[in-house]
Amino acid sequence: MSDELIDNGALELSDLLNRVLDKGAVIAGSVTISVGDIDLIQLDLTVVLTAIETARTAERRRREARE
Amino acid sequence: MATYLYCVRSDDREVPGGLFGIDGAPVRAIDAAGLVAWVSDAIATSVDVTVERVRAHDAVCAAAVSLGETPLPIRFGQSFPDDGATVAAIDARRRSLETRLARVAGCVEMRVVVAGGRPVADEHTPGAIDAPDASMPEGPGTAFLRRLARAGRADIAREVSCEDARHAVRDAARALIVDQQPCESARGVSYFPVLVRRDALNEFLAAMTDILSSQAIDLSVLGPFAPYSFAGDG
Repeated sequence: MSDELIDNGALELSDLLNRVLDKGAVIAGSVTISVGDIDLIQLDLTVVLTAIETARTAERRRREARE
Repeated sequence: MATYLYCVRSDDREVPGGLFGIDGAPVRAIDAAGLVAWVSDAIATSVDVTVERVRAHDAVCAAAVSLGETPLPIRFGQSFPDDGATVAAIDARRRSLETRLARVAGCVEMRVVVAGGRPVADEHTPGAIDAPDASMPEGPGTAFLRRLARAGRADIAREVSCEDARHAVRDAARALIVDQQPCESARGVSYFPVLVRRDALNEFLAAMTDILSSQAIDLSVLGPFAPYSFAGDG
């Protein structure tokens, strides 16, 4: 992983995702969250971020292909 | 229609008018086994992650934390078949939830982010993977492994800096900090969550400013947030 500093926007987004996806009380027996068809259970933040970006790119391409 | 859960609280503060959650659904409060849950309608019990939904979830918890007693934020994605199922699930964990609500009462979460780290000495152990060998042509595989080795050293340096910062923060603000979690690392930064009394927030921020000016640690403080990191079973 690169040691370059990430800008404030990326830092806040990274922190937000870490906080909200990985912390907090769990009431349900299990939590399944997914991006499209990809289950994200027990994947780390880096993978989550990558998966979200990948899913968004794929969606963008699908939309562009339809237009 | 499913019910999406944002947070649980011990007081019955009304949901502010015009507060919308996931997918723009209005947030409402329901009585839940002696506690109060902030929820909204959801299309299904499985919620896909999008940045917008994560932001919406956090915004509801932020609104909840700004009113009355500190709520217990719920992890993203917990949706139940209906209000009754939500109440039943909360009731089944009521004792544990009450304990956790008591633990975070009157507090907010601050997150101290440590970027960079101590400078990594650019020294190479002879024969180590990150030591260049002028006599050998370097292929892409070797270059890749060398980058990994350098990144590994940088990660370690950053984590050491984070631990230094964590101890410095604890020493500087011991009386203001209710609880603290270990350092974690992601995407080139290390950070640690701190549970701070709401009435001591300004003092805490002043203590952080003192650390910034007195020590060579590059840190940022994010927050206040609902106490996500202190809402779990730990």
